[in-house]
Amino acid sequence: MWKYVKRLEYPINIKKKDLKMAKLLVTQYGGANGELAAALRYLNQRYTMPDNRGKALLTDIGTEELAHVEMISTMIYQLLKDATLEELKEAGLDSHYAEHGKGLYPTDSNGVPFTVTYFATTGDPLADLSEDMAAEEKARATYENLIDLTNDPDIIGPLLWLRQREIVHFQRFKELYEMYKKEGF
Amino acid sequence: MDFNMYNEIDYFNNFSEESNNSLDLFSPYEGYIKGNLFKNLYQEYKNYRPSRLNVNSEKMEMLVNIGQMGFASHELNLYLDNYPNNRKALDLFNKYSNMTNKLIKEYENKYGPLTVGGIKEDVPFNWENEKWPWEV
Repeated sequence: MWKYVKRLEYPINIKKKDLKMAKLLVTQYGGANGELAAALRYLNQRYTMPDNRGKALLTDIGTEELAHVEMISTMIYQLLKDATLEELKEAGLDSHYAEHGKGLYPTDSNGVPFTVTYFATTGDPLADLSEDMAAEEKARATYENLIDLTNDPDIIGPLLWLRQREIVHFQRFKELYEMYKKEGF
Repeated sequence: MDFNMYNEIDYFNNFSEESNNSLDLFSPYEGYIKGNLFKNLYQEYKNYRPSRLNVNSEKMEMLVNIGQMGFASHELNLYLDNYPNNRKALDLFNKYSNMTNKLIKEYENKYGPLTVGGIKEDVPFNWENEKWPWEV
């Protein structure tokens, strides 16, 4: 089971509304390389890991990804909350407003809704872990693209931080992949 | 005698698993602002430096202290998932986890619960008193 902790994994306090950036950032919530896909990918793959190292690692990283979903969601919420209708229209978010008001919804930057086809599960630990390694690298690259698109330090700080998490997670998946490969799983 | 033998076994276990991967760690605060506790894994993006955290209240300071100790123990948790026999990592994990729990207690006594288990049995139900993490 899970237990909610009422704090962010890393603090977020965005003071300037930026609707264009909200529209772009949402892809790390509901896009192909986003945090929701990451959380579901690992938490779904963990059942068929061949030993306790894999079951533990996928459970623990999958759980951390849920905390990242909350960080990205917090950023989107804070960027959107003071927007006027005019500003929403100008940023191309009038279609979002029509469907969801100022609520959050997991889509990519183009408004394409989240889908579980963003991840796979083969039941083969080497195949699943290679997907996980690729997913971390793709998320790292997406964070870099997003950092390039803003100059607000309140946004850049958490994005740099989340980018580092992709690097650490990639390393842990790679270590486990190499151990499993060597051990003949 | 037994103690020495155990250390020797531990040493060889670690050596075979982690010869390229020694534990060279940032301090909990440095690791926390960087998002990475492991010196050998840290890679900056372009010329960006990690943000210094803007601590402007005692409450925020306590949350940052919980954040950094919790983060350090989480980083060691992920490491130990792969290398469960690493004694140094386990000792540090225990140290940082104990500090995190102590800091959480102090925070909850002052500012209210971080988990539903942290509540006092008074009315009103104080789980919903404090702001939620996405609110500023």
